[in-house]
Amino acid sequence: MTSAPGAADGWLLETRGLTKQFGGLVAVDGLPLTLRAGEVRGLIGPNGSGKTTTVNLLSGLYRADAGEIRLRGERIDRLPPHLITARGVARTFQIPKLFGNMTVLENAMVPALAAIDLGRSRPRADILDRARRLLALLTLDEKRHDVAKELSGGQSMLLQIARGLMVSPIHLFLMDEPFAGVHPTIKDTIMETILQTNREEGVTFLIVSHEMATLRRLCPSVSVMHEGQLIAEGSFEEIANHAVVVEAYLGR
Amino acid sequence: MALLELEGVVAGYVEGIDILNDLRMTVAGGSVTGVIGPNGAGKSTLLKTIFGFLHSRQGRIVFDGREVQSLAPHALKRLGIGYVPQGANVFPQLTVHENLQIGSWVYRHDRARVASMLERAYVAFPRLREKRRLRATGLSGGEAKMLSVAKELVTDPTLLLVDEPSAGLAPRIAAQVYERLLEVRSAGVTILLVDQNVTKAVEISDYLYMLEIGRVRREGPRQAFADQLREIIRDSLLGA
Repeated sequence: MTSAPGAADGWLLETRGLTKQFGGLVAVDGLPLTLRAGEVRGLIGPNGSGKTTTVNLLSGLYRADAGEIRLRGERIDRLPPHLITARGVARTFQIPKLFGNMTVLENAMVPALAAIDLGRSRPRADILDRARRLLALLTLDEKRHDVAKELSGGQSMLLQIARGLMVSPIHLFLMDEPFAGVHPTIKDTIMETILQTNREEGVTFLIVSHEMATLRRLCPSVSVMHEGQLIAEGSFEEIANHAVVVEAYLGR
Repeated sequence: MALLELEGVVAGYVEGIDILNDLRMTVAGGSVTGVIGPNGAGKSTLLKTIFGFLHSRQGRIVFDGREVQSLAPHALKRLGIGYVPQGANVFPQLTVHENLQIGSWVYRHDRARVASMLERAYVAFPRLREKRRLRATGLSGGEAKMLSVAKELVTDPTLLLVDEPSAGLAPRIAAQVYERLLEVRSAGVTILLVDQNVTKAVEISDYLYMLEIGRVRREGPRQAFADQLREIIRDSLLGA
């Protein structure tokens, strides 16, 4: 069996010419984005530069107008969101999307239930054990029987992360502004969870955020978008000294 | 002289999370004072707090020599503060004229005054006179923005708070909005402008503040900012 081209290149994720338009606006414009397995990568850019649209394309919420997305070499750009998730891609939303009338624990278990439907069932005890460990990591275990709509904004973000990590196997975690408007202690919990699951389970992260100081502590490298295009990549020191990036943030 | 002063202002939406953190700021009468900073720095929250939509948890807000931090928006409006939020803040189903009348609501019992206020608005914004019988839904984005500004100006404020005036507008239209703001300033109105367009904010402001996570990170006159624009961006990218 020959391996798919993307896999041979060693990319966990690779997009080529990825494009999404809304009417006359090209929100994502021929984006080439590559991630290696095990990276924690930041995705930054001025407002309106296409970051959230990129996350929506990668997670299958939007269908690309052109270009391709490969995950471990396999094209996923024509798959619906649940089948992309089934291939190991999880995400969070900036405004948390939870099942409000279900409990915290039930929310966390949704990915495992969805996997059963796809013929990948695991012993219930294993699922429960994983869910409880993740809820403990995210400081939500004591709230596991509360309904999700009673959580604060920050706790809802934590639950989205626990739920994402229940995706099995989990290769790539896309996070859209996970630190926006959350309490500093919750921010620390999120950072610790990212670092720990990256280190211990090899989860790859792509994190959209405007919080440079936080991102800088997490991400050795960062990709910068402007007007739908990838304009720079590198360490924070590199991109902060990159003339094109500085111009983009000047709003010119 | 300071028209507006904030001292040690702490404010936020939910318990335990302060969006503004011990903020201090001075807005000189007759100036355009610009506020820049990354998303989440607290720029819009600052304006909402000054205008009484959000009450500060600590600190003082002094407008024209008077402490105002516990006043409601309508009371602040009577004192001479106008607020132009992001986007088009108009009543879409009402006509342009009706929108302007609502703008003059706090003076509704003084008909002569309202009539002269509206006439002045039409002189300043001739385009709105042409469209005064049209419902606001029929306006372009730029016209709706002009109406938002005009609607605040009818009460003759001494201080106008303006949040992201160019957001969502084509560059040519945005330029017209900034031109109008400069005319408003020339007419003696002090402007506190929040803008994510750093270049534009520096261009039209006399004095600037850069916020970061609810605090003043830098402040200075226009020239100081203009000279260091690139260093400022670099610093904010490094989160330093």
